[in-house]
Amino acid sequence: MNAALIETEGLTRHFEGHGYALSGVSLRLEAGATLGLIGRNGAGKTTLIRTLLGLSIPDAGSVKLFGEDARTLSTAAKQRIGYVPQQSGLPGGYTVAGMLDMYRGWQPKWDQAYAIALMERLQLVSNQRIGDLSVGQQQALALVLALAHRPDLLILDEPVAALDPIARRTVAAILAEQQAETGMSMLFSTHILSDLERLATHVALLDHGSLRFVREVDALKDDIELWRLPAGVAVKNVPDFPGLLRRISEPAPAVLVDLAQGASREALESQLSGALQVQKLTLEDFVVESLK
Amino acid sequence: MPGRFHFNPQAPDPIYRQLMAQVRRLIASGQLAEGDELPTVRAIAAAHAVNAMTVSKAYAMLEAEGVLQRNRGAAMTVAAAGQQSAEPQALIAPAIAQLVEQARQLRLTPEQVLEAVAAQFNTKNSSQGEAE
Repeated sequence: MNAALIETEGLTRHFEGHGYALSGVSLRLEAGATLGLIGRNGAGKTTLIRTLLGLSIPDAGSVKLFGEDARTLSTAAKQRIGYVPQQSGLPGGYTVAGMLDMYRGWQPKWDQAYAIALMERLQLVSNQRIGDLSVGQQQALALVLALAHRPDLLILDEPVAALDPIARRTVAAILAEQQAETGMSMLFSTHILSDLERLATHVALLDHGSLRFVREVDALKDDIELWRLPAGVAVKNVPDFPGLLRRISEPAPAVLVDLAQGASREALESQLSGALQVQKLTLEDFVVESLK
Repeated sequence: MPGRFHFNPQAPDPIYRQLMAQVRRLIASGQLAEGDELPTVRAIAAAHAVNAMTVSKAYAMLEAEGVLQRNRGAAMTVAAAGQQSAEPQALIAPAIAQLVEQARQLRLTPEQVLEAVAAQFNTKNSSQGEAE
């Protein structure tokens, strides 16, 4: 049996005086899947990513990568991972080429021709000093360093936050190509939902350290609807029904529903004796509604 | 060829369904005919920065519907039945669904809607007749 690439069980981490950074987070990432992690600032995304990589030790719970305990990960397993941290933290005194050489020495599967091709697409120049690069360029270099050994699992913390729209699209295309060619799986955190919808098969919402949901992106878009109530019906008069996620009173009375959980429009219409107006939601709308 | 498609990740429709709809439209409008090759999954994924699994899923569903045909070691092609499934009735179905939805909201009966549709047809026919 193939182990999941990532499997966490009840991950919990306290922050002194601040409650939980992570609270009972259990998730799986199967081979070939790509998970987009969203949540407000401070929701625990970076802590979760660092915990997955063994860079942050949980107070409770476990992490397995490729079926191995993340705290005692074998070198072979480490070499299957690529990681792009939020702040690249690359040494400013090195040149781009010097950095590539260093990684080349560490990674037995390093593909120098691919690294150079990526560098050119991202408009990095080999004799530039890292300290002279913009934050966005440093992020792009960190991506090259994480990809050139063609990892099976790529973990990115806000990979495109500092990139301009053109560079962002280039990065998305590079990642999509790698997914297509090698079946690489990814886990990334982002605020930019359009990137997520292009590349992710699954989306997870983290809120105050807890996972609110993990779902397939396509299923989420197919199954979540907003139903506007007939005129004169107040939200509080809507009875509970299967698949009801939320009652919304502003700007107009409506209910947020999940068809996959058995929400039936006909049933509610006959209960309210009036027609509901159906609105499909974008992922962004849904996230905003979920966090209200 | 991969550039023929356009995806809007922020639209309520998932990307795989946007791709399915666009392939059907290309067939209906004659831009893709029986036996024509579709771009590879990799080409679409790379050109549009979308997940390859999403593209595969759209192709697989179109294959299951008989619109596309999978060929051993070669590109997907438009199936013979693909042309039929792109019949006018199938293509107008979403517009009809929308019409029915609005009619329901306005509490119109099916008879009232059919009558209005027939009347609209007559206006169109007579105005076309005059033009000829």
